[in-house]
Amino acid sequence: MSDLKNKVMESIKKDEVKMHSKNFFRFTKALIEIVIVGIALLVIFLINLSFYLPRKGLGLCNNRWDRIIGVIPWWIVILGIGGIAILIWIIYRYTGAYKKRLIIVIGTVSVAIVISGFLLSVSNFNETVGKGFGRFHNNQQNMNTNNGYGNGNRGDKCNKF
Amino acid sequence: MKQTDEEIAGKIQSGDKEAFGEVIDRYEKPLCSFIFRILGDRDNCADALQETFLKAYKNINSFDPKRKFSSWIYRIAHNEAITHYRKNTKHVALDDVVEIASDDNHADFIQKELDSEGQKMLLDKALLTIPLKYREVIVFRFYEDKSYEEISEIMHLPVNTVGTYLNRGKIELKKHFKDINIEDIL
Repeated sequence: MSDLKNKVMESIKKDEVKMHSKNFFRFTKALIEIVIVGIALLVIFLINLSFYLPRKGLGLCNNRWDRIIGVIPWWIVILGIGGIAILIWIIYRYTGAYKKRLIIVIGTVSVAIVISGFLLSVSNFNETVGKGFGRFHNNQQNMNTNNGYGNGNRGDKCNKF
Repeated sequence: MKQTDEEIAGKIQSGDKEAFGEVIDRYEKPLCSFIFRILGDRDNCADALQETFLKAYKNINSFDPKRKFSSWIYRIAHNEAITHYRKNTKHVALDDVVEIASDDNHADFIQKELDSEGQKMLLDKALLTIPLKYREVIVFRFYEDKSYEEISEIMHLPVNTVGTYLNRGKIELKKHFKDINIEDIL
């Protein structure tokens, strides 16, 4: 018996090295899937906002690019791009996506996320969610007014949203 | 009848610790030679090999018996080799081989070496000077006799990329062996 075999088998028999259970790997796999789906949903939501907010702010009939660029919420766009990058990294690292060329994975994930974000932005999802947020926002404003924190009116383009 | 690797893995998964000894018997030599060709250092090689087997045992339940066991264990060895390679800053200097192989004064010596038993040794040394990703692909393909698909699975690379790395690796090696057909040695 080789020296290496002795050492390894001794560690195994003495239970110095224990094998992970099947459930451990099932849990890890499920966790990765949940993280992937969670990040994907979050990024789709952010991309949806980067389509929706400028359109809402300018009105549908206004197509002036300088104004459109001016009202694009850039921090949301940057967060969205960062999210897509993280998503691609996780998919490439932890799923069987390595069998495909990286450029194909990047292209497919990006296009899928952007299209989903766009479709979400033209659906009535934002209006529905916005109403909920609006009620919450109004309650907050009322509380602030009562506490002497001003009237909550920003007086800028935010009013258009 | 001799059991397949996958059957042995199944036995270990169901709690037969002794069966892991058979895995060591079957894979100690091939994994040792693979890791040595990647690291070029016997001490590190032994450590990496031991770690490979310990990790293989720990994670044996992640192995799917429908897949190939050798690819799975080589994947662990590949990860360990990379970890040890990164830890170890003492890599073979490119100049060591380039100087010997390209110096006109040594041309006769090189030719003799390549005509003799020493040719593989010289190639092993040259292998240590090329980028790790190309080196690994060459070792898998020509020393371990793995298919493109297996290399793809072990290194987590697309099959096309395996082919690209193989060609680039050969080009890198050719730079060290002017006028010698590298395919003849491999």
